[in-house]
Amino acid sequence: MKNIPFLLLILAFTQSWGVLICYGTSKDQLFYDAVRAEATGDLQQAVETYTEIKEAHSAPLHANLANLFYKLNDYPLSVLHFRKALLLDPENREYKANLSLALDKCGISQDSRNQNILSFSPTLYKYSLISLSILFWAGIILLIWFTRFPIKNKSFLFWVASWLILLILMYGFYNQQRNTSSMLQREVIAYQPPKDTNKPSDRISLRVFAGNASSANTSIPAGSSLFLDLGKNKQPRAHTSPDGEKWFLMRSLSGLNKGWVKEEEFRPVID
Amino acid sequence: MPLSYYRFLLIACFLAGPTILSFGNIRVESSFNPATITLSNASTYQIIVHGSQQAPSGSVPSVKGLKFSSPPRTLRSASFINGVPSVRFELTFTVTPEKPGSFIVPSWEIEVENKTHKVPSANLQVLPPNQKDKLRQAEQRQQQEDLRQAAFLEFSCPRPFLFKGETVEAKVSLFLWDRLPVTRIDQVPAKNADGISITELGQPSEERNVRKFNKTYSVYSWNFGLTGAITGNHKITFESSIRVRIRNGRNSPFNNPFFNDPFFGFGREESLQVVSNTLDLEIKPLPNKDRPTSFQGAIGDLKINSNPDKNQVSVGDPIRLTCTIHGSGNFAAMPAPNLSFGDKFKVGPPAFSFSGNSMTKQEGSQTFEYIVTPLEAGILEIPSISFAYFNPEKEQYFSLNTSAHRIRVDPGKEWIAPADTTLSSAPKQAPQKQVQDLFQTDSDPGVWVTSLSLVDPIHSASFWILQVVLFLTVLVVIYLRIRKRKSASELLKKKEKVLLIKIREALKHKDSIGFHRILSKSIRLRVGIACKHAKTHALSSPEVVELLKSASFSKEVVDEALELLRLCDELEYAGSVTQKTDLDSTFRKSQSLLKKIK
Repeated sequence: MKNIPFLLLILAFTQSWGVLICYGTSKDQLFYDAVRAEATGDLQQAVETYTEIKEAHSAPLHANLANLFYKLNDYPLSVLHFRKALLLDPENREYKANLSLALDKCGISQDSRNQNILSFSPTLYKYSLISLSILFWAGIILLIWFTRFPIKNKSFLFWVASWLILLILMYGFYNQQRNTSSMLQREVIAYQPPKDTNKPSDRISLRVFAGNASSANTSIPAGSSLFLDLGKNKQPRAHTSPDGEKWFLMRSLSGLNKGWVKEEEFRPVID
Repeated sequence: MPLSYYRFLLIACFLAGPTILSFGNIRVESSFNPATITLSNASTYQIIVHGSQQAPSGSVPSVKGLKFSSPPRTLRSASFINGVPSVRFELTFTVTPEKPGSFIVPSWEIEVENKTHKVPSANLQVLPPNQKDKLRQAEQRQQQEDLRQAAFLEFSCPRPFLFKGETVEAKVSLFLWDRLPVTRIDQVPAKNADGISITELGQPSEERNVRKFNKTYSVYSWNFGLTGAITGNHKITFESSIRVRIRNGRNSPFNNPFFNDPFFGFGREESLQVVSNTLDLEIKPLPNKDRPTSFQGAIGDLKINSNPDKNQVSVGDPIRLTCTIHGSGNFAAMPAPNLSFGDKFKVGPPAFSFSGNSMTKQEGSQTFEYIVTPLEAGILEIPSISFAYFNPEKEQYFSLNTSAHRIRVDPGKEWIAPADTTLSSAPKQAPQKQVQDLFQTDSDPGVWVTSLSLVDPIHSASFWILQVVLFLTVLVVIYLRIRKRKSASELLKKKEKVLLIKIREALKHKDSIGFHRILSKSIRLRVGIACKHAKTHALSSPEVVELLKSASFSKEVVDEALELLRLCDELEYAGSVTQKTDLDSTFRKSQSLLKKIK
């Protein structure tokens, strides 16, 4: 009787591992099934199998999906999945080259992609914050240990000033990374389903008002990056039209292009 | 005659001697010293050339049974004998006897100052070794044996012969005596033999307290795969080197390895070569008789099986056919079995994987994974795979066949590559980048993550743990700082109290000089505390007063302090005690002043 809690604990532990193993196996199995489907030429089946993998991401998964969409001439979705793959494996040169080709297919020029694609390193972001905090606390510790009142040593003041300047610079860098991260969370890829094979998709209109009848400020090619505009409540600025369509206010990275876009006309990079 | 004159004469003779005296008569002597020795001892053969300091030339005749050291030691000397200056040149050889008996170095010729002189003959009597010599020789032999036993390699092979291409698991062990101060193993054992190949020697297994030759050893053993490569008889040895720490100076482990306390002195490291025993190994050729046609070089005791991953597929669907060979054998040199499945299947090149002891690759299982694609529909049979091997124990060939596998192949849908259709319908464009080469499908899922969302590091637990740790460090630093400051002020207070006690004692004993010296110290200490100056004892009285002024003390306090310090200085340094002072009133005055300086 005394051993019952212990046995229950072991049972719970083994069950949880069992669930984990099954979960892991099913994801891998679906992935392999999709690779096999692609190998046999059933690209549509391969896409469907990949999309069956829920709440799990890996760089090869998104890269393979992007390749499939490219082969199916759905270049905006190819761009979207290459962006996702690059989020997980930012240094992969093959993904970068393929993304560049997909962007070419979308008809996005080199100049406009340079202006509109964020460069962001999650590692740098993490280390900038850690460096900032270490610099701050190390300065405090040294200040406490070496300060002698009354302060007469001029070099002491010089070191304190240097520390403060360094702290401000480091904070500026961290803040920039933070803003970039926030932008990335709001990034979407303009999407238009392919109509004609091997041709760039139609352009997406950025409308003056949230409605189909409204005129467009400008238009951008599908596959372009846009950023959700935030309201005062830090939520994306959205509007639901009387016919039930949901519209979001967006702008390009440079801020030059701005307008309302329908929900089905974009796909978020981070969902 | 003054002493300095003799000195001068002596020095002049030494300097001019070789020139002046070289024209004198030259006489040559030779002798053994001692003239009688035992076999285990050495003697010296000495040639003395009187009347010259020039180096002679000539060669000592060889005497069978005697070994002369080369080059000889030389000595030039000059002396006065009964007031007559004399010079000579000595040549000394160390002579080691090789057998007992009476030896004569015959008379031989030597050339001195371009003139030939005769060296007289000399006799050496070598007696058989006595008991002491025998004991010494035994001790030397024991030392050499001990040194050989201090570190040695032992190489073993499970069989006295191998067949060409056969792999066996061999072992080489490095025995290190626990008393030998080994610092590291410089080089893992390396083979000194052609005709065999061995696998890489990885990390050794270590065994402590192994008893052998009445000694305790640490043993490092490497297991490896040994494969016969060239037929014939081969002598195999292994060689390694270790670093041992020895004492500086005369004691060396090579002369006496059992020196005392090597690590606690300033020793140095030396390399010691360790060589294994020699093993004779014969590599035999494989017999030609009854050799099966499917034999591809597999040698050992092996089993084979094959297994497809599915039994029902569509045309074009890949089937993973796994063929596993397991047992013991030459897995490193084993080729994949040849599959001939005819026109019904397309077979890709196999993928290899070995599981088992990867260091020796002698025992385990080798898996060959083939991708087999059925090319037509129906009930197809994956034929059996033939595999032949040679068993070195039984010295004969064996042929094995796996079982055949029936596969149901459905017709499936015919797929037309979308790229082909688009290209045919699309207008011809200028050739672009090589897209097909870039878009490769990853066959490995990689690392799974649950979300693509960027986690703000400020919300991570590790970041806040780091902050807490750093904050606690700050608290610790503050505590240490306060403690240090408190102890410093307490120390000063204690010092003040001690000084006050000393002042009172001086007052009691009417020690005017001592009283004023301590009083001066006390005032300086108080000023130091009040003005936060750490070294007031190093300041002069005017400087102390200036310090008080700068700390905005009243003029009255400054004047009082100046007066008291001046009085103290006068009595302490002027050495005058004629001026009678009222110590009691000075003490009261000083206490009142010290109260004001706070």
